Amino acid sequence: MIDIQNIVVSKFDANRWVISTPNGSHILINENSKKLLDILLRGDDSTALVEFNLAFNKSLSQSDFESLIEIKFKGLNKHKERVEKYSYLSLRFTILSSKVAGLLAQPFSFLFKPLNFWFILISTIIFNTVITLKYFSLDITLINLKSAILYFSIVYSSMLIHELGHIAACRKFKIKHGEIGFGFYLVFPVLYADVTNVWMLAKNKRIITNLAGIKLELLYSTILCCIFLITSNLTFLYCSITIFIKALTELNPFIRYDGYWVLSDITDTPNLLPKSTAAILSFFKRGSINTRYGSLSSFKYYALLCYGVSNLVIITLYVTIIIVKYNYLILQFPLNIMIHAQKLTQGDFSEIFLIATLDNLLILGLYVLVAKLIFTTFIKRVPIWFNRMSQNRF
Amino acid sequence: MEKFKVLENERAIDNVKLAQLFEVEELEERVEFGKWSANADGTGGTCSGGDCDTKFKGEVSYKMTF
Repeated sequence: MIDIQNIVVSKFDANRWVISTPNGSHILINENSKKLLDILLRGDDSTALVEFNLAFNKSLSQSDFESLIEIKFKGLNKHKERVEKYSYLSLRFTILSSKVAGLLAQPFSFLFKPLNFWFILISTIIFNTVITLKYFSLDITLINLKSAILYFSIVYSSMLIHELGHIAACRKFKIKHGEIGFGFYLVFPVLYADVTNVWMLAKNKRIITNLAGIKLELLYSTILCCIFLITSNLTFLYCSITIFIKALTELNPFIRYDGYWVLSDITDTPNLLPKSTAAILSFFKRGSINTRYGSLSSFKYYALLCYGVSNLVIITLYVTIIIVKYNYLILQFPLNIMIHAQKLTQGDFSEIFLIATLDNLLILGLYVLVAKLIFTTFIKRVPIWFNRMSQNRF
Repeated sequence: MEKFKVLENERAIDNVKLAQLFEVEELEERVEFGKWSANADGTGGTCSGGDCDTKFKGEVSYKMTF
């Protein structure tokens, strides 16, 4: 029942290991679990129990031993399928398959050698900061249609370049990566890259992969800035500053942006957001430091609590700002979409770049979030209510 | 019978204590997000008429200094 022959075990830190399973999930284990896993990998069913009892100075029966393995390593059950991929993303679809994304990212993989990684990252940050400070006071308000097309093409492509950065780092570190796609995280439109296998890498390589997207964007921004310095075309400067500021905001440790993974890796806290949510729940339910992730040290518990509360406040604030800022547009949104669709069907593509703007996508994200909430709160429960009603009747 | 129950309970407690030695934590899926940025206003102003030129507000001469 337990499939341990096809797993890959990698070192996570000094006392922990990561098991990568054939169904694509990753399990973090401690030293004792690793010892148990080694026993299971070495011996057959009859010798494993003897070896276990000897190693842990116990006298477990065969049935208790089997129960222990079943409970602890249920994630390795070969019949277990992943319930839903990327459960925190809505309306997602693949833009580039893993194969195509890998091919496109391959030329950039040389940029992620640990030695030159930090040098290039810091140099590009300094260069872009100087340029931004120098020209930030310029208030560019209007650009013609040609410039608008150029601006949107460059800025949209930077989002794809960001994801290619993550994939390129995976290729550099020779781990399997997934696809690049689009989806909504809460109300936020995002491009994503599936780099789940990064769990199998050492801490410094995980951090490089986290920052790989930002680094590639910063390089892109630097190149655009150089084009501006040569050609004096302000659209390039505008693009460069936009991309630089965007790259910096991606260091935000909340809302699962890149900064979230950096914080999770730096603090050696995998499952940072689920753990902080568990800390909040345990605070209100039990008022104790025992969460579903076990008992935590007092410092870690309060740190997680602070992080969880801050995350909640920031998300609530964002959503409130979106509702207040776009209140009129939110009601008009279905009509606007119909007008845009009508224009497109009539062959008028002049506003095509304006359709996928942040404004429109945030409002769409809000609709998606509300629909998801209605679905999970009511529609999904209809069969359960129906069953209860039928049972009460008979 | 009572003694058997006590022994069973002790065994269960021992097994729970033993199980706690083996920490196993399923890790979340790692999907790295890129922020959507292009906007019609704020960071990316566009001319609604479609035929206006790039303009500066404020320090117009500043662009010529480099």
